[in-house]
Amino acid sequence: MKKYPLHKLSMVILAACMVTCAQVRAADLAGASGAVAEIAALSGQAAVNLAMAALSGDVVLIAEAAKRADAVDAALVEAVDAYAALEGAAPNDDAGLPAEALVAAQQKAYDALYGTLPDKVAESFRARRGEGRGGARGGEGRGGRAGRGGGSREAYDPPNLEGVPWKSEGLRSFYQDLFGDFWNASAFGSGGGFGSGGFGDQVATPE
Amino acid sequence: MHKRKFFLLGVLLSLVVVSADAARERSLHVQNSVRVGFDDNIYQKKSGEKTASGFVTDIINLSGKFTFSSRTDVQVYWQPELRFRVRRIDRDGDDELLIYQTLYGRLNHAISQRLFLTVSDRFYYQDKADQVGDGVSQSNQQFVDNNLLGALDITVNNLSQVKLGAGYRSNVWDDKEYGRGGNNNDYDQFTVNGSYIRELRPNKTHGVVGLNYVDLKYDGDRGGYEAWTTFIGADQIFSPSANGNVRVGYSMTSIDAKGNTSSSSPYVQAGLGFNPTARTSLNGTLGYSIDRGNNSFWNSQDRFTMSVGGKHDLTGKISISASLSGTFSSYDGDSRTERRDADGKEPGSAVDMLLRWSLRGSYQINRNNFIDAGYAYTLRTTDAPDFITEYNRNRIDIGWRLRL
Repeated sequence: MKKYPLHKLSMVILAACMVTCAQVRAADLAGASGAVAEIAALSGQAAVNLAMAALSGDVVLIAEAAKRADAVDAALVEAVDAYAALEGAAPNDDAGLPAEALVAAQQKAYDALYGTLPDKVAESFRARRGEGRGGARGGEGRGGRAGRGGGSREAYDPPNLEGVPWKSEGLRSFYQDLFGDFWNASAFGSGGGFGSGGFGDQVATPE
Repeated sequence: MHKRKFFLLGVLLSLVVVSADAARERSLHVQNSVRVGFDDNIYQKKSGEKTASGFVTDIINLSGKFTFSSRTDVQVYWQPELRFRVRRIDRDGDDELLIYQTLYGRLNHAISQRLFLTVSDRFYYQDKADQVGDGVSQSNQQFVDNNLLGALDITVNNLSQVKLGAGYRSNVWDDKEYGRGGNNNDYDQFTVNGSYIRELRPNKTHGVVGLNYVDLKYDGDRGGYEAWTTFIGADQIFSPSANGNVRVGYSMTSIDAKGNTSSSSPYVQAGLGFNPTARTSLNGTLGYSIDRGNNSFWNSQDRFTMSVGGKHDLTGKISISASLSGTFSSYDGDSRTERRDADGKEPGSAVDMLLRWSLRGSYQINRNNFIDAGYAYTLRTTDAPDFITEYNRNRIDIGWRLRL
């Protein structure tokens, strides 16, 4: 068996490791580059959304779109920084931290654009419950309207007792308003059937 | 009320009390109305057989909202009513004290940023009012109706939602002869619904596609019906003061009745709301769908409904509200039950119309006190008077309302 000098064998192994590391590193950079490109695309989409909101003339919508676009841009800046750190890292440096930062930035950008901003939970909750802008008119209808006189639908008045939670917010809002009208006109729910007005259900047929 | 109903009401009230105690934030409002009035047809009988009566009634409203966290809250509404009917006019009968209950609770909870849960329960213990006739008790005219509903709202993305819902409704009459016996009017209803909602135009238009399933079974061997309904629709904001909605679909129904039939029918629901000024609101709806029979002779009906409601504040202290509704029912002979009329005649096809009109005015004396006055008119006509009683009814009242 032919004997190779140990130092030559070491050189071969080292060279092989360097080639392998370079390939891995190149793959990491390519992946990171793709991630940055994806965030840049999200940023572009956010800008388009902002432009569409501006065209609609809805102040609330513009504000929300602007907020989302800013959040995506911030994520893009973080991603570019993370990419630079990854690219400039020495071969022996731990590339895990910038790579994680890049993944986090990517998630942050996605969330910012598609409505899962961390502080959106409570806001979304209020909107669907009817206190915000969610749905067509907000679930509780005109509860917040000013200038209602004596019998207005305020905190004393009931929610729509016949409300159906799986209907759209717009429909629930509409029926809350209709219920309020019938309730105010009625004898308060008894005597002649629900609401005395016939809204929401049909009373039994007299036989 | 029977012990079981008291128990159910007790459990619901206990949940309310416990919820109120555990809440981080709470708001509670109490209102009391005392009214005196006159009703010219308390049993809703045809002309010539009317029984008129005066009444004094006390209605308590208790409404509250309890917030447990930024993600969870509970809304409750409880309305007990005590009504004292004075001795009948031109008829035999003693004074009587009637008790009614209305209880409603709704839980809202954001499970996550994309998953939202709503559960509600509505409990009525009220006058059956319209159910009178030979062999049906007039001294025991109340029913329990409980409707439990739940829905999961899933946010797919910024534009789309999926809503999944289910409900269980139970109706039990105090009068066992009417609820069970040979009439079997007690019923259980199970509902499942799924719909997809998408924002088509930001803050303007939402589109919806959905599927609804209803399974209703009357007590005993009377039968019931199953219905599958598919529909599409839209909610539209026309302007800051006008909005509308429409649902159009198709129902396929399997009716378990004497005629054992299957049928299909269109499904239509449409509504329009309009607030011409900050002091005025108008809302109206039209609808066509299959529904339960609401009597002892048919298990289902095709129902056309219309309703219009309005409110106007004449001044800062005076407001008026009005409502008008019409229900037009079409009964098919194939959906008839085993029941026959007093002469032994079998029910065939029939139509009936129920028209109701209400008007109420309110004057605010000061911050907490109001004077209310109301009038309600009901008219029912039919082409099958042997099975359905034709009547008209007038009710008027005036009262004092206190807000605490």
